[in-house]
Amino acid sequence: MIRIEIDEDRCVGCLECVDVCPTGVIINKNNKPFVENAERCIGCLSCSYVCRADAIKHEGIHVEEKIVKSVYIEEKIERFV
Amino acid sequence: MKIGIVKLASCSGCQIALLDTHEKLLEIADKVVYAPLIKDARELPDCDVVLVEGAVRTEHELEVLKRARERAKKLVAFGSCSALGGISGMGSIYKPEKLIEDIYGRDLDYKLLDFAYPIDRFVEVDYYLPGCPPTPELISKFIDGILNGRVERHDYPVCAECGRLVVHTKIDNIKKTELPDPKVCLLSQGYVCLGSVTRGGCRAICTKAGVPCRGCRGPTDKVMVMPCKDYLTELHDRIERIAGFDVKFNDVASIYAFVFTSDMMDKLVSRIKEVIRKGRRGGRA
Amino acid sequence: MIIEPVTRIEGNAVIEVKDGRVYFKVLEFRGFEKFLEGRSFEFVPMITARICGICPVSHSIASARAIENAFEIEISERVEDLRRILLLAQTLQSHALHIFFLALPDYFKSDSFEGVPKDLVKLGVEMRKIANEIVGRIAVRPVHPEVIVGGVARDLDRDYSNELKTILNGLKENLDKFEFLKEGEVLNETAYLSLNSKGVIDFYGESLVGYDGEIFEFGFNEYSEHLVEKVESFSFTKFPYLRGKVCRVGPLARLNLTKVDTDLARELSEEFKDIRHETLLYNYARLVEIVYSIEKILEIMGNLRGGEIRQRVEPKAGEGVGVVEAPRGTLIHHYEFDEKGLVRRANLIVPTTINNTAINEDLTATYKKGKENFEMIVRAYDPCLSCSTH
Repeated sequence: MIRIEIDEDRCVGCLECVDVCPTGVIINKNNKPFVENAERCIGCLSCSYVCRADAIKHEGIHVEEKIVKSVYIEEKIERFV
Repeated sequence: MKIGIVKLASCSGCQIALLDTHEKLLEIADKVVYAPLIKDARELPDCDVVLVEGAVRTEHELEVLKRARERAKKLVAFGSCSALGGISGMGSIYKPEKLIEDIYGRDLDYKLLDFAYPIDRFVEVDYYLPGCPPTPELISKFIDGILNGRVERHDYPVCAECGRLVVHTKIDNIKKTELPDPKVCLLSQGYVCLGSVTRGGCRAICTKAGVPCRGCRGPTDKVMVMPCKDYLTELHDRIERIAGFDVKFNDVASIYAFVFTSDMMDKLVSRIKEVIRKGRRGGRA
Repeated sequence: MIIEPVTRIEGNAVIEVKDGRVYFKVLEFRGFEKFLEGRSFEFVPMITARICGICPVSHSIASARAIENAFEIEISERVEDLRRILLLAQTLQSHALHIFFLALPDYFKSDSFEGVPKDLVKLGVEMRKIANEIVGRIAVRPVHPEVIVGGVARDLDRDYSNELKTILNGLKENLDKFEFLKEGEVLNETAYLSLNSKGVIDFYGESLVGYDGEIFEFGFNEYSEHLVEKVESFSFTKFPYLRGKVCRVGPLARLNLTKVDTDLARELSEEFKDIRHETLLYNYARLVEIVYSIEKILEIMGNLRGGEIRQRVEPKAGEGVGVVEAPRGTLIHHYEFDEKGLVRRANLIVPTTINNTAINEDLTATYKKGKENFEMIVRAYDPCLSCSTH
C-alpha cells in the first residue's frame, strides 16, 4: 500500500504534480493538490520530481530504487548541509 | 575542541558572516586557534575542525589546502567557493594565460591552475556548508552541530521556505529590476528566480525581500541526483508551464554563477561546458 | 626575512625583505575584470558584491551607479538617501571591525581581540550589529547585499535612531581612551584622492578631488587621465599613480581633503586641518569616521526624501563610470555595454589597489629607519586584498 503525503506548509500551489501524474492520483481541489486514489499510484515518483518545494513524500515503496544514483554522488550529497 | 580557518581564493565574506554571529563568536573565540583574519598565528596547528574558505586558484593555495587536510580531523568546505567553485569558479571561463594577459598585460611570478577548483577536487571533504555566504544562523547551527556531533541537513529547496504562492499567468517578457508583487511567486511574475533548484536553509531571505534567488547555496539533492535535470532546463520548463513564456536566456553564465567548476553539475544537459568551451576559444561567454 | 602570512588583514599576503627593499606580495587572484565580460547588467551588482566580504555594499552600489550612468537612468531622491545610509552603515561596520578587532590588539600588545578590554570589544560588537541590521533591512543581508540597478531592494521602514544614539553616547564616554591613536610619524609624503560634494565629505559624492601639492577637482569620466596603473611581477595587485605620484585613499585622504559636516565629528576632525601624512593616523581618522557615520545616518534617517525605490531599466549601448567612497577609499567601476545590456569591457580600480603603491613605499621607509613594525603599518591601511586583486 502506498501512502502519499503533501506538506501544505511547503506547497506553493504550482499544481505541476497534478499535470504530471499519469494515473490521476493527485487532483486539483480549490487550486491545491489533493491525494484522492492513492491505491492507483504506480510509484513513478514523477510528482515528487517535479515538486519544486519538495513537499510530496511517498511511503511504502523503496524510493531509492527508483532514482538513478551513482555511488560517488550519493556519498557526496550526504555531506552537504 | 580546536577550530582553524583557512582562506584560499575568496572574499573573506564567509569569515565575516562567522563574525556576524556576534555572541556565538565570543562564545567560540577561545576555541579558534588559527584564523589569520582575526588572530596572529603563522602556522596551522593540528585541529579538530578546519573550515576552508575559497576555491583553489594558484599552486600556493593548493599547498595550503593540502597542509590543512593533513592537520585536520574534519575538513569543512565553508561557503560556495570551496564547496562548488562559487564566484571564484567563474574565472575558469577563460584560459589562465588569457586572464593574466588581459588583466595585467605581462607575465607574473606566480602560476595559476587551469581552473578555479572546489576543494574536493584535491582532498577529501567531511562537510560541505554552501552559501554565499552561509547565513550567520546556518553557521551557528552548523557549529553547534559539530560540537555535539549531530549536523542537521537541509535537503529542501528555497521554495519550501519562501511563502510566495504560484499563480498561473501569461507573461510576454522577463522582468529584471521592477518591484514585484509581495505575495506571488517570482517565477510566475517573470523574474528568473533560482529558488526552485537551490538548496534551502537560508530562510529565503532574498525572495522574501523581493529579490529573485541567485542560487548561492548551489543545487538541491534532487538536481544533483537527476542526470537529466539542470538549472536551465528546469527554469525554462517552469516558466513555460506557469507563465506561458518561452525564455531565451541571453546570459547563461550568470545563472550558473555559483556552480561553475563543481562536478555535481557535470551533466549531459548542462550548458556550463558550452560556456567554458566558448570562452576558452577566445569568444565572449 | 619573510613574514607569512601577514595576519589581522583581509586576504593572503607575504612581506619579504630583500636587498634593502620591502616587498608586500599579494598572493590571490580571481579575475573579475575578465569574467564580467559578457554578463547581463542585472547580474553585475550581484557579482561585483562578491569581490569583497567586508565592503560588498560599496562594490554593488558603485557598479549599479556605473550602469545607471551608462544607460542614462535617473534614480529617485529616496534611493539616493537609502544608498547613502547603506554606504555609511557599511563604513561603520567595517571600521568597527578594523579598530576593535584588528588594530587595537597592536596598541594593547596582544595577538587578538581577546587582549582588548572587554567593554571596548562589546562596543565594537554592538556597532557591527546595528550596522548589519540597517544594511540587512535595505539590502536583504549584510554580507553580499542585493543592490538593484535603478534602486534598492527594500525600503527602510524601521527607525533605528534610539539604538544609534545609545551607541553614540557609549562611544562619547570612551573617546578619551583613544588618545594613543593620534601618535605616528611621517613615512612618505604622498598625493591623496577622495570623493566630495562641494568640498564636503560625501560617500555618494558628485565629483573627485585630488591633491598633489595643490588641490584639483575632476569628474568621474576623467579618472583615467589622472590615475595610471602599473604592473609589477611580484604581486597580483597593480600599482596605480595619481599624476605620476604615489597616492593614498581612505579615511586619512577623506579627512585631509574634505570638510566634515556633523557636530562631534567636525570637532574631532580639527586634527586634519592641514594635510597630515602620518600613516598611523589612518586609525584615528577611522575613529572620526565612525562618529561621522553614526551622526550622518541619524541625520539622513530623520528626513528621508520621497520617491520610487525601484524602476524598469531599459539597456542601451554605452559607457559609464560609477564612483563611491568605500570604507577603504575611492572605488571606481567602469563598464562598456552593448545594446543588449551585456558587459563588453570592465575596469575596476579598488581602494587597496591605489594604496598598494604607498604600502610598499611605507614598508621600505620603515625598514630604512631601522624599525620592524611592518605589520602594524600594513594594518593601518586596513588593506583588503581580495578587493585589491579582484
